[in-house]
Amino acid sequence: MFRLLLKFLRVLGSDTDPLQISLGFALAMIAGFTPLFSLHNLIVLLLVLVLRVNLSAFLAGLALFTGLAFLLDPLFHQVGRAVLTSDALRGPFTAFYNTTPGRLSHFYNTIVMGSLVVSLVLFVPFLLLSNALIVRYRTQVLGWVNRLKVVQALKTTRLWSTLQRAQAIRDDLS
Amino acid sequence: MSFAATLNRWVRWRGLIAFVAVTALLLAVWTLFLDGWVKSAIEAAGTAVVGAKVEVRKVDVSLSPLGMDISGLAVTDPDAPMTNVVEIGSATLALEGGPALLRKVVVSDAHITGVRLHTPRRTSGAVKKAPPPPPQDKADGGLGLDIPMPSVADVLGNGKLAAETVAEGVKTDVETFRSRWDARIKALPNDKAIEDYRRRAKAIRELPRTVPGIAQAAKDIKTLKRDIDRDAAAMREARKALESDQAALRNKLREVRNSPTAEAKRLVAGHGVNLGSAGGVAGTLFGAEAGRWVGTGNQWYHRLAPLLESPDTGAESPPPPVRARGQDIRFPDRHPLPDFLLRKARVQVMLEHGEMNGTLQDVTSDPRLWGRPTTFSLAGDQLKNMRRVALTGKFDHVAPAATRDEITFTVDGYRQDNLPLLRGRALPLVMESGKVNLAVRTAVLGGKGLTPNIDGTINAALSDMRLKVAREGIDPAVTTALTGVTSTAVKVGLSGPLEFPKMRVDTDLDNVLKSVARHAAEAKLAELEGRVRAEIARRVEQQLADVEARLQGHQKELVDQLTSRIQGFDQLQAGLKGL
Repeated sequence: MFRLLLKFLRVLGSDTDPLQISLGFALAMIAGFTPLFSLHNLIVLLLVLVLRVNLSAFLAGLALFTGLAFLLDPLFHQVGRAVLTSDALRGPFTAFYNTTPGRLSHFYNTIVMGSLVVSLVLFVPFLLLSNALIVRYRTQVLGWVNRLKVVQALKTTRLWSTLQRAQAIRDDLS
Repeated sequence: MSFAATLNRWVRWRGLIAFVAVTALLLAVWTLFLDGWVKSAIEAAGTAVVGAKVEVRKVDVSLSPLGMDISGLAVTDPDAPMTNVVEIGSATLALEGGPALLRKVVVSDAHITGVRLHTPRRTSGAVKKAPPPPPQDKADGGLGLDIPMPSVADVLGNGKLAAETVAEGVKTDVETFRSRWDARIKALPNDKAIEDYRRRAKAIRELPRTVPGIAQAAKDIKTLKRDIDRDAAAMREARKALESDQAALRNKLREVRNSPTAEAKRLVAGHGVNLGSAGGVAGTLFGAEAGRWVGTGNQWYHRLAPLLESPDTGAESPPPPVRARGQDIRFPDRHPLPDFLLRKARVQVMLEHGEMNGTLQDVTSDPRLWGRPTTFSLAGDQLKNMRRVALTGKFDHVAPAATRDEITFTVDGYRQDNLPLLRGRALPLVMESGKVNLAVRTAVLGGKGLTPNIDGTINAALSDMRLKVAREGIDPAVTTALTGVTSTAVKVGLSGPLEFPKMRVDTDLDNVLKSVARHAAEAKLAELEGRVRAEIARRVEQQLADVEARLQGHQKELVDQLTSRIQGFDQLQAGLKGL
């Protein structure tokens, strides 16, 4: 967890495209809010691996949003139930229910549907908001953070230098 | 920036390879652990349904063709955790692929072999604390039948007992006897009369010894002798009467002391204790035996009943979601199939006496959707000690409002030594040798919201048999009577609510068993009579505490008085001879 936090702080302060970081966050929100072993999370995994999404941001976000999901389950259940029992959507849902992907996706579960709907609705606003926050962080907060004694102490650790070297190798490879 | 540059800026081509690798890894893990997951799922679901451990030795899932082999499935008997109620050697299931992709388990064909019943376990299969053992039959001297007996106080009541009244009468008689005899002795010639006679005798002696004197003396002697003889006779008669009165009183006392026996018998007999009520003992004994079967069947019916029910699709509000699991909302199936369906299975059951083979069809989690009842049929011919055994049945829950479950079980020509017929302590009866034909037909009628009702018959015909009473302490006459029976038939009719069915038992053993019951009832009655008798005797003795002594005293005093006077008269009479 500590290692993940360090990586995340380093990424925030690096010159990585803020959009790649915020996209990692946004995709982590989908994978974290919804039950992990769901069919749609294979698509999320594909997007995370194929797009140049920041993996550290995704993993940190996944840990954060998985924890949050447990608190939000009652909300997801309510939303999922409202969506699944909506008369307007009954036709398409019935058709999808009668397909193999429909059954494998387990979309007819209130938690799966509710968490997916909530995370998809929040996806774009969250992407834009986090992008703006990262930009603001780099311009207004990063200098102050770097001057903090605790951060300077962190930067003297062996783990920090290892991470720096790994990032350099990764940059060379990509 | 060119499109290619933009594409390269946003696409990580090696990620695609990583994705394929991760997906392949997930699939490999899934395939690798699938057998274990299925095994755990079967064990967990089975254990939850049965209420005792369900264990599987091995599961081998095959993806092409889709199917699975299950080996060593053992279902613990929840009532006897060291025994498996059923053990399946091997089950080979052919699964349908299309429904499997729709998360449905449809077994098109199954071959279940090596099914064994009641096999021992090495370790306990209990999953929860065992319930307290059922109370054992009372180990009393009788049959253990519930023949209601009143208490001694009930029998005696609050009023005065006849024996007490008689005892009081005797007490009064003894006092009257004394006063009566005091008066009578007072009226008899006393010492003064004897003294008078002496004086008269002296006067005769003093008469002059002349002819007229001698003539007068002879005349006076004759008169005196007549008077003395008369009075002496009266005295002797009185003593005789006293002895007679005293004997009568002693007889009365003896009668009073004996009266508790008769009164206890009369009171107990008059208290409504009916020996005839112990009749129908066959119903009690065979009913208890049949009750055990029905009880066991009832337990299993209630365990299995939820599996026979269709899932609830009513409009009532759904249960609250389990945390992190939510709730599944079902949509109409275009090609409806139940979540679980076993179309047909060939089953081989290994009994102690040989093999039974048969089929099991249309086992489903949703009979209403499938539209066909579950049926099964098993039979075995020419088995060891048995000509034929057959089990057929139908569980029809297609219409949840009116369900009907039928089972027919027949056994022909079953020969078995030392077969327990009655297991209760009251009269454990063993068929040492003989032949049994058994036919059990039951139907359980129920429905959603209805109490299941049973309607059935159990017919058992026993022939060429030799019976043995497997318990000491039964009357030898009864044992002899039972061992003399060589054939009998027992018919048990079942009706009413499954939980508490009414049982009608008819058997020609009834007369023999009735005598057993009568004997038991008589023993209890005799014991009650004994206690009543003892209580009456205690009360009588209280009344007669000093009567005997008083009578003795009275008798002595009165007899002494009479004897003394009689002796006086004897001396007078002897004296007369000297005149």
